[in-house]
Amino acid sequence: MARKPDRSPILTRRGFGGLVAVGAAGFLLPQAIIRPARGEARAGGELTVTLYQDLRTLNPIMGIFGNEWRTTINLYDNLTQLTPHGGVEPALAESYEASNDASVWTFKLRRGTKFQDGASFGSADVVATVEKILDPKTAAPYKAELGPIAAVKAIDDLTVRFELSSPYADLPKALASPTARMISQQGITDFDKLGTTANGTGPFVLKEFVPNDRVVMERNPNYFRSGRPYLDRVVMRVLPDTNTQVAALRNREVDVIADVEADTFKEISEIKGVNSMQILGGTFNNIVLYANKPPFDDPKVRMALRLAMDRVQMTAAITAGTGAPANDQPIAACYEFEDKDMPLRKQDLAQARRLLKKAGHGDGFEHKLVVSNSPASRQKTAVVVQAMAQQIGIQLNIELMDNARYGSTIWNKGIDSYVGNYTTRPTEDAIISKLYSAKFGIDEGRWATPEVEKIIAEGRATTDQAKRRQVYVRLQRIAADQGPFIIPNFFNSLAGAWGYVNRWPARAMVADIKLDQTWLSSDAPGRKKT
Amino acid sequence: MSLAFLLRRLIYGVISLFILSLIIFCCTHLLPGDAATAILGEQATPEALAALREKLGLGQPLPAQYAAWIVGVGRGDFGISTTLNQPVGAIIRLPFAHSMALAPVTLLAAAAIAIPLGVLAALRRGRRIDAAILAGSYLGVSIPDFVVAPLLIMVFAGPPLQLLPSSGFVPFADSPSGWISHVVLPVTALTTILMAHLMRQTRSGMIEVLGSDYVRTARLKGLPERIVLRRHALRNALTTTITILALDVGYLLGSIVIVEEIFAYPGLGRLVIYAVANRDLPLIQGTTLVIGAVYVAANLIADVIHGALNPRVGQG
Repeated sequence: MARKPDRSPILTRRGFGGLVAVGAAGFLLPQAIIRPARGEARAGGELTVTLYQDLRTLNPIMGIFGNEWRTTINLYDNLTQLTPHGGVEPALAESYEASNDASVWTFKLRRGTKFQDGASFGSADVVATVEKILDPKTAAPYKAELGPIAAVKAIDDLTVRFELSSPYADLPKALASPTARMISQQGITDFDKLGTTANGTGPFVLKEFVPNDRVVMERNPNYFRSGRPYLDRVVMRVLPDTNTQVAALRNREVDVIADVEADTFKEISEIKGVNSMQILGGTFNNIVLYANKPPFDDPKVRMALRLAMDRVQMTAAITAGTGAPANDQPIAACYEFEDKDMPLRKQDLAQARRLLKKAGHGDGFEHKLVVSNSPASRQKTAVVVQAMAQQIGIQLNIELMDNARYGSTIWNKGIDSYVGNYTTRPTEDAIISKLYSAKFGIDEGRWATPEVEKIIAEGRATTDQAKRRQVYVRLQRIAADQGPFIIPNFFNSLAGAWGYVNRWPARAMVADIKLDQTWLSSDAPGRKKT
Repeated sequence: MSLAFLLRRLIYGVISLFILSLIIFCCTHLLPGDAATAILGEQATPEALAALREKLGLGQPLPAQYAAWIVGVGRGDFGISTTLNQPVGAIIRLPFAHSMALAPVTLLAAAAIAIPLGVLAALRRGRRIDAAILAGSYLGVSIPDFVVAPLLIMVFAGPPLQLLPSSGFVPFADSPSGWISHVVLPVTALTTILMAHLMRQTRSGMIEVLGSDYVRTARLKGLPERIVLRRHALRNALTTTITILALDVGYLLGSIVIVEEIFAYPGLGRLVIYAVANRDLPLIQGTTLVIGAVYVAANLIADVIHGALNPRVGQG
């Protein structure tokens, strides 16, 4: 089966060395290069992917971990799906359109699609799934990311109408999020079984699931995209130790590491025959400086701390060269509406000290910073920020904490500063509303001003792309200059795969890995069950 | 050995397990963070958390939660895992079987190597061979399992040797050779640690026995040294060694938690770590109770063997 060369923006190790561009602030930014697949797609074979930690449930609505999303995306489909470049296209939907003010959306569904148990997919399934997510009793953790859906109605068997409580231009993208996989009516009825079973429309059928250990999936012969998937079998194995992961890749016990840590990326890229891939990502750690509490209620103090940061140096230290410096706001280059013209803030210690003095902290001050032990990058971020802050007399006292304790006593509690952690989201609004709006999100820094709330609402209601860009650029500028966070860098999304793995879906959203187009070259090793 | 003796031991065991379950229950509640936050993560809204807490029954008073649980255990129902939403008994079964495959092999390997070496060291006390065995055991005792295990992976699974798989598990029924190749490294890691401990204990037990009056008497009677060692010294030294071996089961179960995690071996140890990290109370209770029961059973067996070797023990 002939196909066009892969045009997803994968950076290979080879490309990374030769093709780099000097970014606006003199920092080396990786430039995307094209990695063609080797020959024509070939059907068959077993692919083993290793995942790092936490795979508890197969229930798409209750999943919170990347590994859970990586699995469910291959068992189910969404109404829409993201393109490799951050756009959106129909999947189980055939087409969709919005009313003029983006408050009513109509989705036409694909005809003749079947769930793996043979039942036909139709509007009743969409209604059942979405209503289940919206039901407060379900306690769906990512409910807010679906947008302001007030009601979902079946117009006929293959037409669904979403009625929103406020305009929301991002609905198609929001419906591509991991929470919104389409589950059958029957599946929703047996909701408690969804944690361990699956009956989706997706390219693979569940064969075995051992929580936190492995998922085995086999080819769905009735997949609606005919001819796909190519792989007969996919095994996802959780290996809880990065050294074990690297050893397993080296020994070809696994073919792919789906989510490589910055520290091991170099080691993996040095294995001969392994393609190390990195994509500009939007994952970040944010130091939360509560804007309603001293000392950071004074914008001068927040700005002083910002000016103390040498972002280029910090990025190198925190990401081992696999990230990009950031301007204390969450929209990275992988988003459509990134403000490409915003200059990177340079370190200016003299100005920082002047601001501190003006704010009445001429002698500096001490401040507690809580850090959770997972993921490991949080601790690195804390230590590096601490070193930078010290230069202007701000002494950050780091307190390390177990992740469960941090989650229930520190995160978003409005008391102590801490290092937050967010992965790349499907839309700008998903992360912006969450961080900065009290109305649509959590207003994590207790900073939401009327002006910011107004801009966020405007962004959600605007369908014209050029106008939306203006809105989001304005918001990025305000957040960068006045916002309640230090965001020193973004993390690239990193993966490593043997050369015989073709079309591995490397994406900015690391969990967005549908394996329906992935195939193995003939030199892939045959493998006994492991 | 009398039946009353065995019965009393059994009752002690059950009481220990009961106290253990109480302690674990209280400790888990002292841990900050609850199952609801673990399940919903950093994305949870306060309303979602409240809804889930209610669903999980986390709002009930602690004594009521404990009573509900212990009554269930009495009926053989260990409750439902809060994060996996499956009966705890069903979740534990397979990992338990996997761990129980590691434990006896390790114990046998450790005993087979450590007891002869310990005896040898005691007999050659103060000589070069004794010093060498002692030094080796010092090394084994002082290198922790979380160092031994990655070292083994680097040497045997990494290049250039690449002799064994770095991690994972294959059921014996699927492939006996695959099973063996996956079990070798974890067992080696566990044995290294256990062996050193056992060797030292056997040596000191043997030295004590060799210095005792009855061994001296036996020698003075003119019995051949071979008979003195086998009938008088070793038999008595073994009773201590068996007690130590039983105590070491506890030590082994602790090591299994770490070693299984590093080798991604799907056993009880990994399950414990998962349960604690996710504040999955029923699963924590279930797994620790099973581990406790294994320990109690091991000591019971040791008592029986002990009684058979030394008739004075099983008397009252």
